[in-house]
Amino acid sequence: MNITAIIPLHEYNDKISSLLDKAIESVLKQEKIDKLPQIIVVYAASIEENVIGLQQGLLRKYQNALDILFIKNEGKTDYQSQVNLAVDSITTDYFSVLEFDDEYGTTFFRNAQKYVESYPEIDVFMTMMIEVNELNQGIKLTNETVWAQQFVGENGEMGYLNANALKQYTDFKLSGAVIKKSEFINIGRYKSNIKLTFMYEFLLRALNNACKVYSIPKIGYKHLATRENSLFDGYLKNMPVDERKFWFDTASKEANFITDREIDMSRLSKTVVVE
Amino acid sequence: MSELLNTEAQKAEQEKIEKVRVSLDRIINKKSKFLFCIPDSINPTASVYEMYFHATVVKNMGYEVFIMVEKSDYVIPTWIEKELTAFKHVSMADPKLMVGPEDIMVIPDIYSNVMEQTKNLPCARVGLLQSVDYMMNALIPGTDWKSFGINDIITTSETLKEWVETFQGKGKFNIKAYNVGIPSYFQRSSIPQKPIISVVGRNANEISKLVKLFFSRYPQYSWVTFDPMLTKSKPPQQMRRVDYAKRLQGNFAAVWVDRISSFGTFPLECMKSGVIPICLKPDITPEYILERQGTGDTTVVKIAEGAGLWTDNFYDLPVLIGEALIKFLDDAISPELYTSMEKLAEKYTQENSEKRLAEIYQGLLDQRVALFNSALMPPVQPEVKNNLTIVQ
Repeated sequence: MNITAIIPLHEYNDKISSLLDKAIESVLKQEKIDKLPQIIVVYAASIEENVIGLQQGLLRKYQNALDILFIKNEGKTDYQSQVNLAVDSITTDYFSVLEFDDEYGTTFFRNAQKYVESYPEIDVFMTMMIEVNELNQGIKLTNETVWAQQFVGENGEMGYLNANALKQYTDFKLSGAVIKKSEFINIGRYKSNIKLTFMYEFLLRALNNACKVYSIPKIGYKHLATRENSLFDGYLKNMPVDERKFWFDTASKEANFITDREIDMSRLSKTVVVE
Repeated sequence: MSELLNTEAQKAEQEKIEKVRVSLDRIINKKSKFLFCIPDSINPTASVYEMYFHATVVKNMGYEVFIMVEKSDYVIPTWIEKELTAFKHVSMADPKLMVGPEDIMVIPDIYSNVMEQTKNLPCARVGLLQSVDYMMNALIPGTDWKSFGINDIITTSETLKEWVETFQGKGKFNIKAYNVGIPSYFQRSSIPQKPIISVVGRNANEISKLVKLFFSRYPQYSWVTFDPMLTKSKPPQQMRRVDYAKRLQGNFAAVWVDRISSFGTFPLECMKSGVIPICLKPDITPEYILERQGTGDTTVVKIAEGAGLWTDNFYDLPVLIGEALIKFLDDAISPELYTSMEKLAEKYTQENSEKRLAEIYQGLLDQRVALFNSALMPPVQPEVKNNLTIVQ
């Protein structure tokens, strides 16, 4: 298996513990593969005590079935920094980020392996995902749009994301995506200075740098879209429309740079005053 | 006077015998010609491809082949492999082309007028039946190919053979059936398939209706693309068959709506390519999808495993497409389905087809040789024993 699963963990409580258990189990329940992928859990140093308990619990429950590596993060604990840190520890050519409240489908890794072998030129494989609410009810499909001829345009190729289309439609997610480690590093990794739109910015930057982005046409990932107190729940509830627009504008601009530059927030203040 | 008449009659008889002998020699020495009448076809059709395939089989047997076409400006189909169309194409109106008793002309179902116009030619003529619809459209009520002196028919399935016998009389024609061969480039690809559905049908309005019905029923799948299997050029063109095969194998499913089809090459192409065929059953159910279980009165006929999804009801098709799509996206299509599709279609190879066609055409030649030999045999003299005359 040439793919490592990365789980970023920055907080911990009973609810997260239960969700995390399901997430890890979704890796262990993979069907029709020779070897289960390694899991790397990057955790914030502040929850170390909880993680020790978690490690012991997992060891008891899964024993040798589990190939899991825990990495303590004493730096910034936003999602992007956690992933960037984990990527340095992976030994496979590809990685996939599993959010602790999400789950892989049972054939996710079999498919992912098949696609990375069939399309070695592709750098980012988004996965078609089903977004669910907390009652596990399906809300919508995501990342499927690239399979619409109208979306990719007459010169675009179905299945591939192109920059023109991405500028018109921004709702793509990289949760579960299978990303080539070397290209991820080459183009500057995730940017922790970008908030709401860091995935969008990454995709734009990848396309600006001639990376190939493809959507695996299998519903291989279940994303909990409405978890109370999640990062995006916070954005949704607390972030004003102007600020959201600011982050999209910022993403478009910053996607031209590989480095994670400081964001000039004064522009946001001015925009708010003007409106 | 009577002596003179006898001499003239003997001379004429000798000339006739000489002509028969020449014809016989020409057949035996493979100097006879085969003439295949091929209709103009702007769009690729399996029937035209098949006729060129027949012509190639005969060429490979060592005979000279001419393709007879209606118009002098006939354009050789570019969607067929060049090696299958490398023949002399001659206009049917060309007066220079002479045919003799040793030659064989193959006339497709669509050309009953050609059958009628050629009925006084000395060559043997064979009807090629691929489509009941074409055959019946071209006939006036109360006639059949026998009316034009056709005795031999080659057809693409046992079902069509039975159909002729049922409607036009058993034993009336000498009918030979063979299995259509699907080129080996219709094969499974190791590259994962796309959530795209090929659509092939005779009636464009019906296809358009089907696509709209699907999107109405499944708005959540409005991103799914239906592929009309044309080039991406402007304007779109028909594809070469080899490119068509390549495009087909990349799509996960294919819809086929052709109510008047008499055989159904497309579903077989799908099965060979690992593409799930989703089909409306035509008037004549393709024999390859039927599986017979039991014998006699207890025989049960059902759709064979691996035949794909078939329905009698057009309005079931959008739902069948939806179900197949959901399974594809959920990665829930059983690998056994692909194995059984391949198994079901495995006998339809060009190698098998060529072998059987060579037998059929050799049979026609042998039939001709036997006829000429019988004409060369001296007339049977009555044998006289005592006072009894025995006529054998």
